[in-house]
Order: sequence, then C-alpha cells, then structure tokens
Amino acid sequence: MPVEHRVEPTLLDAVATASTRSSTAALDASHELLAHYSDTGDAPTQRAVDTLIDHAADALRALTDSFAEISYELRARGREH
Amino acid sequence: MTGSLIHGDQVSCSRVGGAMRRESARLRQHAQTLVEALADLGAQEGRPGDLSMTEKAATTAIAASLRTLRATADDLDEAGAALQRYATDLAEGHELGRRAERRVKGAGLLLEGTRVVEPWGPAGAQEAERRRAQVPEVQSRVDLATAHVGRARGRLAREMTRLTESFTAHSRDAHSAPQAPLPPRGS
Repeated sequence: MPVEHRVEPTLLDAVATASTRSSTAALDASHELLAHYSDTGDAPTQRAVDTLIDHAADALRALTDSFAEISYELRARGREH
Repeated sequence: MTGSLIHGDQVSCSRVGGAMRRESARLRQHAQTLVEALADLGAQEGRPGDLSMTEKAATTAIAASLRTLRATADDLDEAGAALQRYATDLAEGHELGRRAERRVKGAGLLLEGTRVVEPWGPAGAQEAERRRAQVPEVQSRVDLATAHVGRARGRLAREMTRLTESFTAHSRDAHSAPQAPLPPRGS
C-alpha cells in the first residue's frame, strides 16, 4: 500500500495565513468601494458607475467567503492532527 | 464646482477611482503572498511536481480562487483608471463650460439648458441684431463643452458596463471555486 505523502505543517500554515489575509483584504476592499460616492453629473453614467461598484463589491465578498473557507478547511485539518 | 452648464464633481470621481486603484494594489500584494506560499508548498522537500493527489487537488482549489482574485484586482484597477480619466475630462468640461457661460453673458444672451437664446424684453434693433449675429458662435462654444463631456460620459459608461460584466463573472467564479479535499498534515 502506498505511503501518503505528508505536507510540512508550517507550509500549510503559511497558505492558511495568506488565505485569511486575502479574505480580509477582499472584505476591506468591498467596504472601501461602498464608502465613497462619485458624482458623474449624468444619471445614466451614474447608474453605470453605481452598478459597477455594486458588482465589484459582490465579487470581493464572494472572494472573501472563498478564501475564508479555504483558510477554515486548512486550519480544521491542522486541528485534526 | 458645478456650473449650470456642466454637472458633476470631478474630485469625487477621482477619489473613487483612486480608492479602487489603491485597493487593487493591496489585493495584488496579497495575491503575490499567496502565490509564494503555494510555491513553497509545491516545492517542499525539493520535489516540485511531486505532490500527492490530495495536495494537487488542494493546490488547484486555492489556485482557482487566486486567479479570480488577480482578475478582480486587474479589473478594479481598470475601473479606477477609467474614473480618473473621466475626472480629468470632466474638469476640462467644467473649464470649457465656464468659458462658454462667460461668452454667453458677455454677448448679452441667455442659456436655456444647452441652447443659447436671445433675452426677452425691449431692445433696440441694432442691439437685437448684434445679439442675434453672435448666437451661432456662442452656441458652438456651448456645444464644444457639452460634446466634450458627452463623449467622456459615453466612454466611461461603456467601460463601466464592460467591467461590470467581468465582475459578475468573477463573482460566479469565486462562488463556484472547487472545494477540493485538503492534504493531510505531517506530524
């Protein structure tokens, strides 16, 4: 039976930490985008900008969740050993 | 800041564009840190490419989110740059608008929206003719300002629409990132 290759814990910790920080950075970025208001001076243009900001914030929140999940799984695995 | 001819605040547009680009730079830094951590994982024990199946699957899962992070950061930078360009165009539009408005006033004419008109009320025939003769030239100055800003708004709206579609795709990608089994840790 083949012996399973085992990963050095510190390497997994580094990935988990980097993943957590990416998650936090994505969340901070989404908050930052929504904290500002731009006045383009034209209703259709304004809608285009506001829609972009909403969608960008959505993408950043999705990344926040994705990286948080990765980090959680890595740390959960760490607690198993 | 906002004249009656050209509307909008270039400072606020520039501020939002700057915030987008700053956040993009931060996200890229975090992406790079994650790339390095993944590279270390892949190269452990000096055996790049010699990972177990579960390790490879985990690396693939993380790499998928990482690609989305980088693509999102790139698009955020593009959106910020577009807003900053618009802010510059809007500032130029305000200046053109102010000059046009001064010209309207100097010619004794009025603005109705973006249309140059002669004022109501009694005026001598000579004076009325003098004003009327200036309308085309003054109108062309007004049109210059409004067309300048109109083109800038068209460019910005197209860029925003294109990038909005990209962000929608990034959301979808992030939500559907593969959740691979993660590797066992060594003791």
